[in-house]
Amino acid sequence: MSAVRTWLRQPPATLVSGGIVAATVLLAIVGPTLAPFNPERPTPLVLLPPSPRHVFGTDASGIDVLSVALAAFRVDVVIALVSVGISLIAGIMLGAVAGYGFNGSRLAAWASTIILRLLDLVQSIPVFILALALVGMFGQTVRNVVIGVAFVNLPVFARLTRSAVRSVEHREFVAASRALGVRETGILGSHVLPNSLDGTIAYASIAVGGAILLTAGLSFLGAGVRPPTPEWGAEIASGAGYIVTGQWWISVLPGLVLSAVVLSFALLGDAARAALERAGRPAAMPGAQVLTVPAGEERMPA
Amino acid sequence: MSPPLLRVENLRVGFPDGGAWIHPVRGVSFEIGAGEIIGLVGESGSGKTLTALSCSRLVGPPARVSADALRLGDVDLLRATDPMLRALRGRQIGMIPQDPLTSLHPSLTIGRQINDALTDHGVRGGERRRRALEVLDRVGLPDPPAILRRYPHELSGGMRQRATIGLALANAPSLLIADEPTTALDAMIQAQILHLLADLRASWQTSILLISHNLGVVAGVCDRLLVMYAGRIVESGPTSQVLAESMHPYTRALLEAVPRLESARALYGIPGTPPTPWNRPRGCAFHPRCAYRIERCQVDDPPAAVVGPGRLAACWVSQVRGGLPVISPTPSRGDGATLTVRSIGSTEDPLFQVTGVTRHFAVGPAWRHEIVHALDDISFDVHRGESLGIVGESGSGKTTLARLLALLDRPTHGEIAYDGEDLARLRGASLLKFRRRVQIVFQDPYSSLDPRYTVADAVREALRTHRICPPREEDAHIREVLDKVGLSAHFAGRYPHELSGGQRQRVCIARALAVRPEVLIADEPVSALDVSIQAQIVELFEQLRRQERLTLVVVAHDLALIRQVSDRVLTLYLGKIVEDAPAAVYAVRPRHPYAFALGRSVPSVERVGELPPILVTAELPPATAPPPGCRFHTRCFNAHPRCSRDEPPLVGDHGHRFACFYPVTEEQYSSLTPRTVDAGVR
Repeated sequence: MSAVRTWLRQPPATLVSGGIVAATVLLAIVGPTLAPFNPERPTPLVLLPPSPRHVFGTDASGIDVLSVALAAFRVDVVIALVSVGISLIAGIMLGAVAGYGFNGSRLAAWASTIILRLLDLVQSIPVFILALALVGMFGQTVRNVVIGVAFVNLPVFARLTRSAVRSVEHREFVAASRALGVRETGILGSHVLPNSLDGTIAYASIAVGGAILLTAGLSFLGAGVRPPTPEWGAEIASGAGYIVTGQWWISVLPGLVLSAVVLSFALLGDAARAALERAGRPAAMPGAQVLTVPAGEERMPA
Repeated sequence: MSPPLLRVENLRVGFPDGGAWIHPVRGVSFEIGAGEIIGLVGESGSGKTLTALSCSRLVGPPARVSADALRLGDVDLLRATDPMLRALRGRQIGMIPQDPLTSLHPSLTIGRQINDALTDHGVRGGERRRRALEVLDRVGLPDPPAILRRYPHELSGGMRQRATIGLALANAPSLLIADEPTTALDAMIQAQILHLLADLRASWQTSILLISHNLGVVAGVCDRLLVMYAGRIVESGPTSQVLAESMHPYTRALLEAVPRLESARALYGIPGTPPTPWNRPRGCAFHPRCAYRIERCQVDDPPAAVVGPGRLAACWVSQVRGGLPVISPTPSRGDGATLTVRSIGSTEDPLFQVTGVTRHFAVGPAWRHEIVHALDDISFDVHRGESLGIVGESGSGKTTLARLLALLDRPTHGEIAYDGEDLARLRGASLLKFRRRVQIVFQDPYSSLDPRYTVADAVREALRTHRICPPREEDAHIREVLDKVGLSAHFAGRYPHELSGGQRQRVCIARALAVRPEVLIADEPVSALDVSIQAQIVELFEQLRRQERLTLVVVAHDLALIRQVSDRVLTLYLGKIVEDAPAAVYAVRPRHPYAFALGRSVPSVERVGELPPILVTAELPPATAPPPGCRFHTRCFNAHPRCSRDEPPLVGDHGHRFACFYPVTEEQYSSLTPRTVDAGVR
């Protein structure tokens, strides 16, 4: 019960974005089955404005826009989640190796330098161009879009992990374990990494929003998932030409859905980060709320 | 007597805490007369800083400050409006914050900061510069015109604290509130600051409220003492009387808990931990930790009552009996005498052999880096069964030495051998074996435990790493080792954030003991803890030494503590050993001028109204460019031309070595004594 109450005390923006994110994940699972019409089969009912029957109207191929928007949850959100998952795991591993000094090991220093320069290389190319090139090179399949999006996200996760690892590495409990004789890989895995991941994981939520935008963006340019797979970016692109002639709903309504989802992931990520910072504060203020033990409980041995 | 400058009556500070109110300060009353220095003593969380901040109305929402009276001169501070308070702060009340390293604006010059303080109170034009130069000179900073142009990072810690005091004095306030003004400083600089406070009162009639957890600091300069516990003043009165005949058990217990340089004796750690405002016990807040408690203490909170001329105490026992019975507050330990008789480890059996060890660090960018000489050509042995103390100011290289001994760092040159084996050659199994035999406990118990590991998990890691016992016996082992450090079994499931500092340090020690080491290295093991808790940990070390036959290496800047726990003391200065002496000799007759000056600069609770002499005024030279010859010659009162040319070797006999051509003379032992404080007009 108290968990519910804590949750309800959050700012409204967090509540709304949390709700939308929860709905998004739910729709990624059941979205296509909720679609009132087949989102891939063209019909003669082209360019119908929004009406009770076609709430978002229909597009130039006569496909119900709402059905596309709903079915696309599974495509865009799943691509984003999977690719962020991949880059999160790979980024944490690379960041850990690049950040941890292994008690002054030469080899680790070299590995760190090499990883960092490779990350520089990846980051020096604009994200969108890089993703475009990757998908263009290997082919427009869902798998390649996932790999491309994961690849461009990886440097940020690696750098976040690295900087956290570098600060945790100098905490005394690491030296304490070292003096105890625990192996360096063991210290990294059981002490340094668990204490370094909060910020990286909070960022993952923001990154999911970005990844959805990137996936949709690739399709918008025709370089992402191929039609007729229902997809927000492709649908927005297909309606772009009709806005000037007054058929605004094809682009605008799926675009609004996309914006709401991306914004919610970003807001939730911010809230998560703020919550982690709050949780981190008592540790920095020693003795702020120390549990006091009655005198009898703590005593000198006889 | 003239009316008091500051009058505080029944001051309460409350904070909202989920619907209810908690009161970290509850009913504090005291007065400060003109030209008086009052000491406010208490452990962390006792409410002393909140009390001080309330005096200049710096406690803002959500806190609520109330009092029957809160007056500074003719001004009612409770009714004063914000503009009135602003005019008052700086002009009437000056504040010296604790940390000189962070309390100056880092990107403004000292001159600009003093200027701003003066401008705010209407001082204009050339008068400002004149006043700024005057206060900097007043606080003893050399070459004031140059200091005005400096930025804080260009000054040393002691100079920064002086500049901070200068800033507080710029508008010549009648009341100075100094919140732990020397806690972040080394002993010699602390002595200088204390002299400065005493001089201010003598020449400017400044009243001072000096807040400190260190009884020695307040004993030297304060006319009267206020002892705070759990948000109340439990005892007050003239300094000499409060310290000599304490009327509250807490004051007496604090005195018993402080190690003294003059004599090693059994310390008395107050059992338990201070209560927090969230869970204060019923009745007298101190009764669960009190050796004198009677039944009434558990029910009624004693009011402050007059127990002598100018003396108040809030204690049922002393009120009923007219004083505290003269019993030892440590009935449980009758073996105090055994602690002073020490066994010097046999010299034939060195565990550690340190030979010509040098450790240099490169700082700055690779193309123009500087070399920090942390340690230079150090040689000494640590014998089996002895307790070795290592002292020095910050920057002397003592922590570097501890890390080298624990093999957390490797020397640039030289060799460290343990039990005949060169540490540099240890690999694999032999390295693991060394790790088991030599354990280290760190300074900060808040960062030396992994926040995600329970107490049991932390100890278990030690047991598993060295395969101390089969997994099913682990729990029994953990219980046993927790018991050794005085923690009951149900601490096993707790996380570090649920423990107090003292409890955490016990866990760190338990974890080190779990692998049955031969040597325990402790790097400033108590400096992050409260006085009463420090004594508990020191007691624990003493006990472990006797029971576990441990060899101890204790690194600390607190000389009295080192005196308390060690048989032999190494004094380090700028990366060199200047003296290696038996603890008893070190405490009274150190031969090296630096060891002597350091020892004399420690304020003592036994010398009420006396300040430690200032034997050394010059600044510590940078470790990147240590002076040639004897490194101490730039600050030494015995320095001869030869000292700046030749480096004195570390020689001597009977286990007493020192590195000095002109050691302290018999005459100097008696002439360089503490100075009696000038009480000003009183």
